[in-house]
Formats: sequence, structure tokens, C-alpha cells
Amino acid sequence: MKERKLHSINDVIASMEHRFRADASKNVKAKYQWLISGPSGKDFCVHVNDGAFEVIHGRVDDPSVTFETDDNTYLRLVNNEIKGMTAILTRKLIVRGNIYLASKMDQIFK
Amino acid sequence: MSCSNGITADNLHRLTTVTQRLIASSEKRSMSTLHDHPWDESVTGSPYLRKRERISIYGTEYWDKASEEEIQRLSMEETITWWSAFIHLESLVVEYYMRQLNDGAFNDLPAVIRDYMTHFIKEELVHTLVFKKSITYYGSEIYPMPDFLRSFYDDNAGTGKYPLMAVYLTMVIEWIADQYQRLDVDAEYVHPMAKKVVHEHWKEEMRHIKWGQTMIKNLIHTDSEFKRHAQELTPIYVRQLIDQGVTNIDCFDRVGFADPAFKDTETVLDTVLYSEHRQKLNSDLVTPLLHYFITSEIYDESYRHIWDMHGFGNDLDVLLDKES
Repeated sequence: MKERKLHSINDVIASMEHRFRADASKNVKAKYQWLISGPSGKDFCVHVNDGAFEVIHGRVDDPSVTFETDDNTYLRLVNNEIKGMTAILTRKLIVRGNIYLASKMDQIFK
Repeated sequence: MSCSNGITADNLHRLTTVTQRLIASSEKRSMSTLHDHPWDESVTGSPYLRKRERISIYGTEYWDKASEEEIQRLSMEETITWWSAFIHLESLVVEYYMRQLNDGAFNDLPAVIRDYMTHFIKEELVHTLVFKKSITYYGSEIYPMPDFLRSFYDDNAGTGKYPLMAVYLTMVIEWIADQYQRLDVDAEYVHPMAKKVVHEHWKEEMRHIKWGQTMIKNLIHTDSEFKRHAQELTPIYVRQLIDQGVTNIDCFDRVGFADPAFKDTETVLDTVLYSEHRQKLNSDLVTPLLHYFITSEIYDESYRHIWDMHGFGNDLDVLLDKES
């Protein structure tokens, strides 16, 4: 089944509920901070806590992993229109933080 | 038999023996900032610092869009960006391990480990100085620190008794970096200074990598969380390091390619990273690492899907067939 294209950051946040895989997040406690610039950009944090998650708007203290990008690149990443590595190498995406927890992100949200 | 720190006597013996051997080797032969490179020989002509087949755009349509002069300059800048990464990483390594030593992180291991650390730190410091001299020698400038390195050790020190995750991540990054460099200069026409810089560095890093491998192999059972995390993150980490090692878009800016096709860096990188030629180079590079991951229990069948997802399936099958 083809996934519906997501057109806004709010669309992406709303879709997290059905993309979240509780089994993949067992024993994971992490704060994934997104800092998204641009006209429709926003900062939010996905707090994953051992099989559950919540979205916190704005910035949190001590994030485990921080992703910095712009609104256009963010939507392209979510819609699989740009590869993560290409975004990193072209400086459109900056990832900082715990490598293990960063590597879990793709498994936690499908 | 297990000692009070959870390490078996056999593991401790192997770790001590290998470390003593590495110290002896370091004392016998260690790189000098002054005497091991032909600093007085000037650069003439337009030297290649990287083998042509290993320059990022080789084997893609972009090779024919570049002039010979641009290709030569790219061979230089792609080497300088590696040397810059070494300067940044090894500076962090020095700072991090000095702090670990001062904080007593290795105090319940044999004293020889702390002796080794002082040799190791001195050598890493000399490497940063030699790489800086080498960049100046070729009339170039250091590239900025890659973003992911900025808080690398603070974010990834690990959770166990020893800083195993830091030791492991450092060992893997140094190994991949040296594999790249060693293969990059493997051609007669590569400039002698570049070859010398790489070979001298490689000789010392072989010791550091060996020590890191030995630490992990002998202590992995003391920290089950480290083991599980390493098993799960290694395919992703290795994929990132291999892809990030291919090039740096700042190199393209410095070369200033005349053909407008190079302005679309996203398409250039997609073409370069996923070319058939690059997959062959990646296999050559990663094979020794995969062998180590298998024998040290970092590779675990239950995470095979992650290795496959990141493109290591075929290379693993070849090695696993040989092992069996």
C-alpha cells in the first residue's frame, strides 16, 4: 500500500501515532529534538519512553539526539524524497548526539 | 575463572600480553614530527594525492564533465579533507583519554594499560601536528570539523565500568579512515609526501587499532549493554562512516568545477555514493572489518536484517561461507 504523502510538519506529527512501533521502542528512553527552520519550521521533541511516546513542543533540556534541518528538507526526508545520508552530506541535515539512540529512530517510527 | 572485576584471568592475560607488545613496539619506533617525512623536498607540478580510481567522481558521468586540472585538484582536496578529519578526531581523542586517565577510568585494569595510554596519547598528538604540517606543505587549509564529531565523546562514552563504547567507536572510525587512506595512495604516481604521511600514520594506527580490538574482544563480556548496543548500531555507524568518507561538498567548492552540473550537489552525491564502482570500492574497504565483527561477536545473527538494510549482506555472506 502506498503511503500518503505528508504535506506539513503538523501532518507528520499527527501521523506519528500510527507509525509508532511500541515493540521497537521497548527499553528505549530518549529525547529526539527536532530543530526545523524555514517559513513553516518549528521545534519539537519526540520523547520516547519504553514503549510509549509523547511530542513536546519547543526545545527540551538535554536531548539525547538533535536533528537540525529546514522545513522543506524535513518533509522530503519524511516522504522518502531525499536519502538521509545525502541530506547529511549536503549539510541539509545535521545530526548530533548518541549514535546508538539515533540509530533506533528509524526502527521506532515506520 | 573470573576476577573481581568480571574479567577472566585468560582475558586479562591476553590483554596484558598484547598491550606490553604494543608498548615495546611504540618505544622502538614512534613517528617524529621532524625526521620521518621529506619536508625539505618542494612540491613541483600538479601532484595527485589520491589514486584516480578512488577519487569520488570516478566511474560516474561526472568524471567526463571535469577537466584534468579539476580532477587533480579534487584528488588533493579529498585527501586534505581526510587529514583535516584526522586532526579534529585525534585532538578530541587526546583530550578525552587524558581526562579518562586523570579520572582513573582504567585504574582497576593492570598498570600496563595506563602505560599504554600515555604512549597512545603522545602518538595521537604527533599525528595532529604532522597532518597540520602536511596540509600547509601542499598550500591548502584545514577543513572545518564535521558536525557529528563536535560532541562525539560526551554523547557516546558508554555506560559500563570502562569506556568501552568510546574505545570501540574510536577504533572503528580510525580503522575505516586508515583503510581509506591506505587504499587511496596505492598507486605509483601518487605524490611521495602523501604516501609517506599515510604510511607513517598507518604504521602507528595499526597498533592503536590492535589495542582497541583486543580491549573489545577481552572485555565485551563485562558489559552486556555495551555488547547489545554495539551489535545493533555497528552496521549503521559503519555505513555512515564509509559514505561520509567518500567526499565532502566543500571540496567541490574549493575545486570550483566549470561544468554547471556540479552545482547540483544532491544529484552528484547520489550518483557518486550509489555507483557500481563505489560499491566495489566499499566491499574492498569493509571486508577486514566485517571479519573482525564476526570473530569478536559484534556481528550477531539476530541483527542480520540491519546489516542487510545497510548494504552489507553480500559481503557478510562471502565471509560467513568462508568461516563455515
